[in-house]
Amino acid sequence: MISASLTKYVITAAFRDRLLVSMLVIFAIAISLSTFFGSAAINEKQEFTAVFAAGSIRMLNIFGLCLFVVFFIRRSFEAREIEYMLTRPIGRIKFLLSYAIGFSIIAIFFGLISGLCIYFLEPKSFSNGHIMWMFSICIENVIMVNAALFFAMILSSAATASFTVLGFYAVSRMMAELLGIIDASKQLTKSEGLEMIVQFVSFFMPRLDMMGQTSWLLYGPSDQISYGFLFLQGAIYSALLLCAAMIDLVLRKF
Amino acid sequence: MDTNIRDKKPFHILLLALIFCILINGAVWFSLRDVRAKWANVPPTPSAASAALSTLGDRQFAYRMTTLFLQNLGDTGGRVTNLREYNYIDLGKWFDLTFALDPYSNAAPTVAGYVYGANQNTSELGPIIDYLEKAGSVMKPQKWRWQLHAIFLARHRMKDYDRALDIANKLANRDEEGLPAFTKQAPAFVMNVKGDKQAALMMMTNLLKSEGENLPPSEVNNIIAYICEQILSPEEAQMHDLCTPMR
Repeated sequence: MISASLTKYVITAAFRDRLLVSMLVIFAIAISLSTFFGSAAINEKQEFTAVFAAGSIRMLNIFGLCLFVVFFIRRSFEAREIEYMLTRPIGRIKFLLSYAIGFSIIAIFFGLISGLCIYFLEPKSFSNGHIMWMFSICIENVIMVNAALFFAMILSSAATASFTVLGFYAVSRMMAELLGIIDASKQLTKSEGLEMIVQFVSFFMPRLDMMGQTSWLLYGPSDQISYGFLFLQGAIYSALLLCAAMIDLVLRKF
Repeated sequence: MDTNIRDKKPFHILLLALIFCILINGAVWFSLRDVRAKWANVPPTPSAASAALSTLGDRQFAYRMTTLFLQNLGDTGGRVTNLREYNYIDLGKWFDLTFALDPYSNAAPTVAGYVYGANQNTSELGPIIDYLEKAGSVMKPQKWRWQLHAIFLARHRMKDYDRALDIANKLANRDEEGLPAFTKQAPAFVMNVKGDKQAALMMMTNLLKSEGENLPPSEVNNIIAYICEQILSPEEAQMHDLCTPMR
């Protein structure tokens, strides 16, 4: 179903593009700034540092990974690498799945690195919340690299695809608040059209607001969220995005 | 020779243009040198949903950002603002926002109690007392100390005995295991109008004795500083054992 050599090629490309080094440098800067801002607080300095570091590392993961995926795919299209690979005895579905697995392995790797960064920041306060946070960051990274793969396949401009995938991420994370605002404003105003649009958009959005919460690092994992839910959300949305990307690739005329 | 002159002409024009731009830039810089952001007092408070949206739905991150903002409010860009100048009603709304974002943390109550509670214009402390009472009402270990702090501010700073007694009764009736005995005596401390300073001192030293080992060092230092700088006069502080390391 997948080609190991193609998956290996994607992982090699990540190292070749200095993704590991640049992400580690950005993480180090984020942790340093978080420590600086955390130490400025008059109380709960460690909590401030942990929350700032975790929150910023979570976003940097997405920025770094999505930009890498989008530019890698668009460059492959422009250099006719994809066309060349599809001339080999490999199906289009097998090709896309191999790429998706390669990106997902990179995503999980950076999720683990993020967890280790937070662990080394304050090893004494390591708890179940840290493990769940790391797990959910891995899942979130996997969902977002697959979203980046989908948008990079269907949009011909790297800049447009990058903005779209980052917009998708921002809306996914804010969806709970937006739905909450809709529910709260029902008693105040009648805006059924707008409400229906937001409900429709939210239907296709993963609930990333329920993942990677920094409060887990301080107060432990939430009772409402389980590993099963996190895994299921990752599996469902990755499958949805990959199916859409596969349909686009199968119908595409080179 | 002719070609050389033609090459130099645009270069001289560009050089003149560059010098002109630098001069204009200098004029703008001198005219704006003393223009700074004015202190427009406490800004309007966003809703909890809006605050969470600003951090992409991460409420804990929004809480930490808001608390750090409140800690530094008015004291940024080389400016130091007197606590009397703050609008405490708006400030109370900001602290209510922090409570909505995270009711369990002690970071915002510390800022409210030890920073904004130090206002010498004691008639404005009402919103801070209301917030501390609410922060202390959460049934978590050691949260009661914020209700005690609210009693202290109401009783000894604001001299609002009815408000202090109301909070003291809530503290005394608190159904929680492991509360120090003196919390049950809080109404008696409030009703003891005589010996104002001694009662205040006793309240804070009792807090230190019973909870000092469990509280974070930064908060213990805050309590000691409060005793030595707010409750005691400089002469009394010099004689007091607690204030010895501060001298």
